[in-house]
Amino acid sequence: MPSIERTVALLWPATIETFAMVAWSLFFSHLLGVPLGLLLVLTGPGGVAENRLAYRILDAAVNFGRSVPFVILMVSVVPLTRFLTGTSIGPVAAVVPLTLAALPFVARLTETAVLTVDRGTIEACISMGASRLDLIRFVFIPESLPSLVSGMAVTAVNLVGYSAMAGAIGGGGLGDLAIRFGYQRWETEIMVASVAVLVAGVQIIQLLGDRISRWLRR
Amino acid sequence: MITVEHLCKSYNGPHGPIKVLNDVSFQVERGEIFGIYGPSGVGKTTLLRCLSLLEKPDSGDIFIDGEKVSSLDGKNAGHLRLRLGLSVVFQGYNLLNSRTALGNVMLPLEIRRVPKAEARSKAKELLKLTGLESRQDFYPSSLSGGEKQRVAIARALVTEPRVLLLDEPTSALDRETATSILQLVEKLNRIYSVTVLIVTHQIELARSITRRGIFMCPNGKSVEVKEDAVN
Repeated sequence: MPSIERTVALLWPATIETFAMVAWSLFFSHLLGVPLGLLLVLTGPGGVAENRLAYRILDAAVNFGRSVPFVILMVSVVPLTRFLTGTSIGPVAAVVPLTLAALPFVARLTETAVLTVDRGTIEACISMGASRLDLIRFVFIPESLPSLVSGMAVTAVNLVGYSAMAGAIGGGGLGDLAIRFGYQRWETEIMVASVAVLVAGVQIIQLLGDRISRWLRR
Repeated sequence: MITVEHLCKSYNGPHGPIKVLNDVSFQVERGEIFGIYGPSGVGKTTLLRCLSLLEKPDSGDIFIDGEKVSSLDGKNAGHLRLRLGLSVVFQGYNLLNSRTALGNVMLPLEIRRVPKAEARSKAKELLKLTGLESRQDFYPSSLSGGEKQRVAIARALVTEPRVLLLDEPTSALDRETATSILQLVEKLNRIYSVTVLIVTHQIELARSITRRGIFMCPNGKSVEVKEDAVN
């Protein structure tokens, strides 16, 4: 029976790995996904740079990205992962498929959040002489920030789940720990402890997301 | 200063086109407070949107300072709006919820790349003039309807426009607040010599500050209303 010390010694680095994977992939997926979401809004129906063809292509790409199951995505992007990180296993490598999995989701959440911005407010800014970039800077992002933060929390929770899946095929973190010790060696305590940390992590992320979003809605 | 000639505008309805503006003509002098009256749904806001270059009329002309503005496309309209000094106060205030009252008033100056310190000082001056000095750090959600309207007016005037277009500025306010907003408009008209066009269905209220105007009829036509007729 594993001691508490051993469980903690195994859990601690795995927890750090999991949350590092989630944090980095959350960062990169927003770095790429938010601009993609804004492009969807700008080129979409009624957008300030409406372009039917561009919107259709972007829309289809986002739908395609969202429909690929994560496990298949992870395996299919191994060459890209190797190219970018020099390896296909471990938490650093896992950031690539995690980012790619979250990116279309972030783009869609961004589009939905920005579309809730009052049309009258946008028109008022246009009447003041705002350019498209001004609209993004002064209206789209600040006005939809509470929804964007809520979406970020949802994405982070999804990434925690994905990171556990990544662990199953060598991604490291709590998923890897749970599979190696909890499933393959049948050490129930490690399995339960891993799940408990994941559940607590999800609760904290959601709570933080809700609080920040509420504060921004002042 | 503003000349509108034979303006027509239709929208597509479920049973064919609906003529909202039907041969509307009038003239507004520089520095005047001009009323566009009429019940709801007669095309007052459409007329204001055409005047603020947010919509293109189907036919007819609009001249501002002798310049024909009715045939411009969206992009050129934006530049022209700035050059001619057109400012609009929309019916729903359209304030940014993510910005304080001060931030909202600073916005048009930030869009024009005015240095922040200068924009802040100018915005504070306008907030003082509109009686909102103590509310400058409040977000729109903490302001009353009358205060929001004052912020919207301050925001519209911060760029020192030559023409101020107000869409139903008093419709959502109680009588006392509405009167104070109209008095504020009159005061700002005097201070800045800004030409003001007020769209309203509250003719009785608006007549306290307007000298002339037009009454929009349900058939899209307009009838000129002079001071004597209003009073």
